[in-house]
Amino acid sequence: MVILATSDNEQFNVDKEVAERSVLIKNMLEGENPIALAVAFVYMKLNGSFIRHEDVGESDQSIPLPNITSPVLKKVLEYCEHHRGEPLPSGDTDNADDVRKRTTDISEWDQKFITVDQEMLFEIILAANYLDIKPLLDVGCKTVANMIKGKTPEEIRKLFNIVNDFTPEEEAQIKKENEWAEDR
Amino acid sequence: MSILSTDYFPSAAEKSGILNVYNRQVEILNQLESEILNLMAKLKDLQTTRDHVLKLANANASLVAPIRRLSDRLLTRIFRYLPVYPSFVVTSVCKRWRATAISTPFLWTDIRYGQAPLLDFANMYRSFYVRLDNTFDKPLDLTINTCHYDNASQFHMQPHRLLSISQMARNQLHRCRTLNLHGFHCAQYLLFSHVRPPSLKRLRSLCINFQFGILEDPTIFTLDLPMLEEMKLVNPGNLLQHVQITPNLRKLRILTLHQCEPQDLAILSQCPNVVKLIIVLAFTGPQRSLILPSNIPFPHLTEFSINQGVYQGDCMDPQNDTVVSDILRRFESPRLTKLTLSLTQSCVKQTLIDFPSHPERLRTLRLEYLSECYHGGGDFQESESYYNFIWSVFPNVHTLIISAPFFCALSSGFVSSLVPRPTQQIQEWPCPNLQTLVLSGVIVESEITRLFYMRDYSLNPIFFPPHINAVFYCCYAKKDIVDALRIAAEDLGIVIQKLDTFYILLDEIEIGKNKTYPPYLIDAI
Repeated sequence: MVILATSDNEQFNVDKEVAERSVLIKNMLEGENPIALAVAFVYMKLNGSFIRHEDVGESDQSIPLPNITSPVLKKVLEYCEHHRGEPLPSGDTDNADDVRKRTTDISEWDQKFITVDQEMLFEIILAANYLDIKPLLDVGCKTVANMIKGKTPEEIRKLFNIVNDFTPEEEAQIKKENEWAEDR
Repeated sequence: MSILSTDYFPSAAEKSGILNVYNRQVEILNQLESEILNLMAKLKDLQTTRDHVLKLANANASLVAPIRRLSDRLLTRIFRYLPVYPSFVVTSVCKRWRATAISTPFLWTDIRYGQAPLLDFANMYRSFYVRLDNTFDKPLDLTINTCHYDNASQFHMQPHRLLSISQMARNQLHRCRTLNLHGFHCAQYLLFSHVRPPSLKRLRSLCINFQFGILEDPTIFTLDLPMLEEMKLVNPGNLLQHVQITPNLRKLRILTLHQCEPQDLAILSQCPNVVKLIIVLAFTGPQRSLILPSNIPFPHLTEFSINQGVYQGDCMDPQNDTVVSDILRRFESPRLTKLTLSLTQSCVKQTLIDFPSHPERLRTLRLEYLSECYHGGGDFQESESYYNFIWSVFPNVHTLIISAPFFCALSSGFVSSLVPRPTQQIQEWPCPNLQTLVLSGVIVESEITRLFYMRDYSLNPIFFPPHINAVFYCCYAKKDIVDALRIAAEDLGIVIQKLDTFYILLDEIEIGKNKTYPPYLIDAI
């Protein structure tokens, strides 16, 4: 078992197999992520406890996750538990930044899982990014992309509470630039 | 009050009193008007203040909006899932989104010109230019489509427009990853130049679709394409004589259309490393003729599809059977594992008898019966012994897809050959390695009874022996049949433990947890 400590001081006992869906935690447990270890070290020290390099991975030591609150971690662990045992994606696919992803299909379970309010949705994306859980990050990004699809800029602003910070001149210029695309 | 609105004429004394009342009323009216003006001014002030506060509140809400917490990298990752043209939409949302999108080249690398007619050329040109400009030096996916020009006088009136786009695109050919040319003129303008295009070292996929006519100067396609992996040719005419096939070519699709004759398919003898080949012989017309090499060796071919298409009008070309036979007779494909035959019933039968040379290797077999008459009717009855023959010829098939066109029932002979008789044991199944079965077509009631129920409507589990893990029924069925299937599906969910997936498409009756349809199923619909 692995103990994960959230920013609001809650602790989660998690199966190692489930926790290792996170590449960050996996590397920490294997002692391969010195940066994460250093962050954990500082965090633990600030909280009055102490962590040694060799302690990480032992069951009685918790791994601090200072960027994640307990409700979000609970959701993330629900995802990891459901997808336990599935093959992890290879790192290469993510590096192909010049390749546009063609599909935004999300499996039925994942779709139900990610049906949350916007606050939680973006928290999940941030947590998945921090913990390096690529499949979950993709589910989150696809969901946001699906929310954007088919909407006008004004509708997108309204949906995500984004301020239109273009000057009227800039807006006129952009509108002209996009006329062709809008016609389609 | 009683004299108001009457013809009564007041006396002088009365007149004076009335005037006093009138003056008093005018005074009140002026006061009211003044108050209204004050209130309106106040309302305007309040509205201005409200708008200001609202703007501030929105700005504050925006400051804490969840999406704001995403880094540019994560924003880019989301953009990556958007289709091509919303790239322009996201640049219009706010300054940050605009900057992020513009500095992300891969959002812009899919460049398409002329997807639809009657577009404003100036805007289209600007869009093309902006996209190109945002891609930096990344590989491009370039599509130029002039099919609408070919059919309209529009092109002939304005050829300089295509020329200017082509000139701009020609300078970028060296970084094209895919190049799709639809319509006769696009290739002429893009590739015809006194300066031969440089080696297209990045080109992986080339699609050339000439809808009409033979190229006057096919030598423009004498291109250096060292990395080409995939080629799609529609109505290639005399073009193929000039295309240099490289050993990297893995996928080849040839579609012959209309009356552009002769179609020179000699290239087929020069593709030794092709693993996937699709040939569609559609609308070949009465003057069709194919120039074929004496033998067509595909030592590495694993996937082959041949489609007879339809003849002019509504009917199959009866002579196409001969064309198909001519091609298949020359074929050598010892590694074939996936075979798709979209042919007439008689041609399917003959092909299965003659082809392929190593049937035991075949794992996926897809039979699409084309009607002799495209718009329906037709009898697809085959005898039980015919299907038994198929099972004996292709003993290792694990995926079988059978489809019939609209208004045609699937062969009951097939069902008869597949469904064991009540007296048979499961191990006597004629297709022991079959795992996935896709049936596409109209379901007739007798088949349902046969497939799912015994005559007394108790469930027929014999149809689903343990080794079959997926059954798909793609159907256009009447409501009562769908209802019967729905009940069957519910029953199967309880009774058939081993069946992971059971779909009856279009009505989305399903059993099992896997709802992601496999690609061949999507194709089959």
